Amino acid sequence: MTTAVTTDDLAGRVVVVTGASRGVGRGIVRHLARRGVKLAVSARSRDGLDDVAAELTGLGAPHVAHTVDAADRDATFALVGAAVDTFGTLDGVVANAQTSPDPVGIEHITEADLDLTMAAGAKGTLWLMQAAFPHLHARGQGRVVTLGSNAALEGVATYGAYSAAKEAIRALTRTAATEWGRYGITVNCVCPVSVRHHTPGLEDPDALARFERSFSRQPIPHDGDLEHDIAPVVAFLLSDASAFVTGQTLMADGGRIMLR
Amino acid sequence: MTVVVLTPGDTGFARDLRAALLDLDVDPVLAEPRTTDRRELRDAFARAKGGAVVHVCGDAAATVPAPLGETGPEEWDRRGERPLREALATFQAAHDHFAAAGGGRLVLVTSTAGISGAASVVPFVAAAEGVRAMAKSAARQWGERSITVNAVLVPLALLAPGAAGVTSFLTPPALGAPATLHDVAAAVRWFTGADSTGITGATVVADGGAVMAP
Repeated sequence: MTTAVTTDDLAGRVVVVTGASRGVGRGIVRHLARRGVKLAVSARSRDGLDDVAAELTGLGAPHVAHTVDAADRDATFALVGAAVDTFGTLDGVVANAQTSPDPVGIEHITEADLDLTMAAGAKGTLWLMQAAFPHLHARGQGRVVTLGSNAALEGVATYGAYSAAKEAIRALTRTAATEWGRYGITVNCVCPVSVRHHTPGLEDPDALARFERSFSRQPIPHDGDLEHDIAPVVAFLLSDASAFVTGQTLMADGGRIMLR
Repeated sequence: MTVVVLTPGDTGFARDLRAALLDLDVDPVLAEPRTTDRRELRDAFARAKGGAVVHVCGDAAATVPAPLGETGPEEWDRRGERPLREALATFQAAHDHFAAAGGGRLVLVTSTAGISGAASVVPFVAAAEGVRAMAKSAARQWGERSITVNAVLVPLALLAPGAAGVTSFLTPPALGAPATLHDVAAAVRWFTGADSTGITGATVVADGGAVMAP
């Protein structure tokens, strides 16, 4: 019989989070830090990384921070290696990094656009899975959390390249779940809705009104708060409370899309 | 800690789930007897001061195998429509209680057989998917009142061990071992707690990765 578990069991766990300097990744890192998780975080830019590292220091969270382009396989392996070298183990990874080109119609997507979004998103997720696997396999347990998108599920116009990468990530998620379940490794995806952090121009009252109206379609009619609405769902999938949940997608979107 | 009310409380699964939740420091109140009386349920939720209601759809009686061609109106009503009416009464009563309380958490527990389909238990399978559609509709209607509605799907073998054979066609769970009540209870507990207030209309499949679509 399974040992009794709680959802508050993350203290002391070692988790790698990519794309940690801003947006969803920053909210996840902040939430996990407050719950006592030991973190290995990455970002592409030195400035962004220094900023998140300073915040983690302020929170008293043990951490290592590396500048990593998620598309760089060797650098991703080095990030995971640093986590294990520093903390002695690895409990889970959150493949959050994603680079996106400017939104354009399908007919205008270039090969460079597609390469850009697939490199950090789909390939970056795959590299992180591969880097984590030997450590999680050796332990006989582990958690992999990937990030999809409601824009991909809804087929939002002008996000074709981004959406292709995000659905590729969901396919990788199910495949890894199938292959690695036998080793006690769960692999699940979260699709968040948190728009405000990356939407420019909201100082314009009309733009802000349009933004607020867009949430009227949601049962929980507000934008997702990075730390309080989105990150706890990721934390659930990193915890023992989701020990028998794998290959699934959880929508952290206030009920906007009820996927299944 | 949120007070959880478990309904209907007169099945073996409900008692087993309560025991598993007790191991997680949740002490659920069993709402007995089984009823479709909205007022009776609402009063029971109010007496318990329940902050969350967990409704279980499916039991041994609803999943007695019978060929589809031999399923008559009486059997359809008993195994298909009655579970839907029970769920509707629970949902409505929970809404009444939560609306007065300023919000609450409604969690549906039913079988993955609704997604996969299963020969010989057609009325129940229809009810399982029907009640999940009801849950999603309730989530859409009640979200702005701070009432969340989510679902946890479990293997049929847990809800009704005698009917487990009818889903033997499913892919074995990726995690290898069969699901336990503790696995289910952990997911249910999360949906009744503070960490999931931003999620509604969602389904978590706690079956070890046998059903992943889409």
